Amino acid sequence: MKPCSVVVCGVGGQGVLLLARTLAEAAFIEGLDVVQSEIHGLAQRGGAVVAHVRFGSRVHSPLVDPYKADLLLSLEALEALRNRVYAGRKTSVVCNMLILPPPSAAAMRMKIPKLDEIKEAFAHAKLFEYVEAQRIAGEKGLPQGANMVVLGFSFGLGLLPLSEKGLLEAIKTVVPDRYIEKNIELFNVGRKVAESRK
Amino acid sequence: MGLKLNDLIASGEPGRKVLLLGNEAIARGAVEAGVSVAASYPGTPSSEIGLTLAQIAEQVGMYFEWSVNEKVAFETAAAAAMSGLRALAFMKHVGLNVAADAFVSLAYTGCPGGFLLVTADDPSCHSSQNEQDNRYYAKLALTPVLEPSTPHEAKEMTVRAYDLSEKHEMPFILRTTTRVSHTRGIVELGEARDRPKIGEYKKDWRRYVLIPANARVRRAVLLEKERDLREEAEKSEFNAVEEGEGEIGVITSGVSYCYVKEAARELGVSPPILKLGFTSPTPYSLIESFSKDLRAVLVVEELEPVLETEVRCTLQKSRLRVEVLGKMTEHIPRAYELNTGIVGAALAKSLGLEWTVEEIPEGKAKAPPRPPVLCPGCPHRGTAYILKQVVGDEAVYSGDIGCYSLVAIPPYNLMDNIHCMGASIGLANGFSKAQGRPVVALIGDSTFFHAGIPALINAVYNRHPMLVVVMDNRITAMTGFQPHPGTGMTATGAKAREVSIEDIAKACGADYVATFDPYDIDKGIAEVKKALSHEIPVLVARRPCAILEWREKRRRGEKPKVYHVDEDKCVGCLKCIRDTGCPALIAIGEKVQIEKELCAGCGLCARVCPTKAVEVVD
Ligand SMILES: Cc1ncc(C[n+]2csc(CCOP(=O)(O)OP(=O)(O)O)c2C)c(N)n1
Ligand code: SF4
Ligand code: SF4
Repeated sequence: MKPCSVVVCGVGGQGVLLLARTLAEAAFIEGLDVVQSEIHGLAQRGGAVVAHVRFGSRVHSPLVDPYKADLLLSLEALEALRNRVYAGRKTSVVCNMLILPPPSAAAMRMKIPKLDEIKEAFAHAKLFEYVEAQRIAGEKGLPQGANMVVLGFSFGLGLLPLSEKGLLEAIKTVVPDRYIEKNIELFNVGRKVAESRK
Repeated sequence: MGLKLNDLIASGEPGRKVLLLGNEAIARGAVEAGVSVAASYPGTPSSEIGLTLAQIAEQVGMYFEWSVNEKVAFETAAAAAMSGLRALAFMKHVGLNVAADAFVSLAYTGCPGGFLLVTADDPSCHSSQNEQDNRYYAKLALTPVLEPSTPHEAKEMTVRAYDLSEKHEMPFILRTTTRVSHTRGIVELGEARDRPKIGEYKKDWRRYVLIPANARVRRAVLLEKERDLREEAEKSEFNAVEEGEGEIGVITSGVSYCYVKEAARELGVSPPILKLGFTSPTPYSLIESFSKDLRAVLVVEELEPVLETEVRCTLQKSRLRVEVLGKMTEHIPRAYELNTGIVGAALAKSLGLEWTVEEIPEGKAKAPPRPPVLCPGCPHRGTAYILKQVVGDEAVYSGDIGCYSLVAIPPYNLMDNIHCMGASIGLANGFSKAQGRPVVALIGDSTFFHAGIPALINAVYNRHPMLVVVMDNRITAMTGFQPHPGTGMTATGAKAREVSIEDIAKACGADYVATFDPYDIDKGIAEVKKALSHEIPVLVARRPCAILEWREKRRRGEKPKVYHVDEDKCVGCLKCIRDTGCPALIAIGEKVQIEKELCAGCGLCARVCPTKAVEVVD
């Protein structure tokens, strides 16, 4: 299998790294070669976070190059925009329908791009879909679970060359025990939303 | 999740494959190698080695400590190796600046027990104040260096380093970079060795007492060892030639190798590659035999042209006319980390090929910057606010490194310099002599223990007036919540005697020592005013990190009191956002709202609101 490159981004505290790890574990469970890299560092919540996951028969580089992502998964729309550099014409983008304006921008009354303007910036990409992951996860009582809705949704759209079995197994490996059930539920809701959209 | 993975690292069976972070792989390597003593001071990108060892040390029978700083960590581990045990010290790249003195001496004496120093370099300064290349330290102290490309290799090299270290009685360096330390990859577990708890210190005056007469002898021994270790590098399993086509070859080390492989695949070429893992002492013969039939070699490495320089020396020494391409020929940039695109362009240029990049026109919408911010309820926010009120902007604020460094950026702008750990008080010594403004030194609790104390003693001894504020959030927060001497807890969670910052300040001779709670603004303002009437006062602003508090509360099942904005009273002046920079405050339309999921209930915004629109939710 030729390498699949995924960039996962969002805001600190949203579960970007957990989502990236789930993808990496799923690929690993399928017997693929995997590299995943992430930037840690500041313990604070609220900063921009990005992780790269690459898998295939053989992968070397831990980083996705500009314009070379197969998939850009964003848990927040402004962060999708910040990571636009990874999106080329062959990139599919799935984005949580959520804007978290940075406090500093709000204080300076900076103009915050709107959802449709952000989508417009990805006009060149192969696909750009918003999913109401935040609303869904909130309704299901686990607002931190928007990442799983995005994952399920991407899977439902057929954007992930990974099996359902592998992904569910990965969720069980990566997510703390008491949240596994909820996370799987959110994954499934995300998938159904995608199927209804096809 | 954490537990499952840590169990595998502690006791996973040989042959099993696990997905591990580079740093976790190094921790596993230490388990397999039979390391008895490990010590560190936290620092990104090395910290997860310690976060992992702290969890598993007891289980595997290893001793692990977070030391007070890198020099002490290095020395703690060095003594174990001098006593015949296998020992590990690890730190971020700049940590070695602090430990350098101890490091060079250990190279001179050597040690009978295996010793590995992991230095985690940070190209692109993802979480550091500089992007120094620590391979230069190896040249300085003539110590051997292993450079892994992947997490698996990091583990393999960790294990192998101990055999080699013991064979040559020399400390080894494992040099990682962010993209190895913080990359997750497939690691195959190996057999774990026994781990003795107690070693034996064999006295050897000529070796360990580095008075000039002995040091001179050791210098000669060191040079001899360098020769032997070069032989070792020549035949190392970590140095290998990958056969290829064409008369242009590639010599590479570390994560750069991964970019070379990826770039070659994309270009559809297969140049001969010399992959070096055991990079220092330079394997001259290997480089010579690899290069001799080539027209040119492209050297691909991150940061400084360390390897490239060695390749040039080797080829010149052996009178080979092979062109060397790399940083000195501007094929590869010197600053910042590499990626496939940068390496691909260099490789294509060397081969006379084209590296194409898709062109995407810039989009109209731009993402506003999202700098890291102090968490909601962070105690450092209150301290910054208090100082702004009393001392104002007139003073020179000598800053330091930690979460509290974020008061250096808007909306607080309360640090005029951030250099290195301990420099707040260190530089304040000079500022108080060299210029006319009042001087305030802002330092974190962990940082105070790390490097603040000698500087404070100097201020007292040489009479350098300054206000020192220790921003004590009861933890080393920035690097992932490690305990330190002020917390009353050890790395592995055992109770420890709490070292009091106030007692230290008094013992150093500070003119005035007091403590305040940064949530209690009035008391804090009064304390700062009082302190300012003294020449060298030390104030301790004490309140636990809000994340820790939040975790504690959640564990106890308590809900924090939260605030909300009364829409009718809010006039949309945004003073709360401008003064506090709290991420829980969100401007929606003309009004401000408080995100109740985020609010930690510190009440600072309620205090600054001119119309008293912020109230506690009942
Ligand atoms: C020599 C050196 N070692 C380690 C680090 C990494 N580092 C940055 S800040 C910090 C400690 C911060 O702890 P503290 O002073 O308690 O401040 P807090 O983050 O808790 O506010 C560390 C370990 C560094 N920058 N330099
Ligand atoms: S982690 Fe703790 S110390 Fe750091 S910004 Fe957040 S609340 Fe403040
Ligand atoms: S009380 Fe105000 S400043 Fe404090 S955490 Fe809540 S919103 Fe932020």
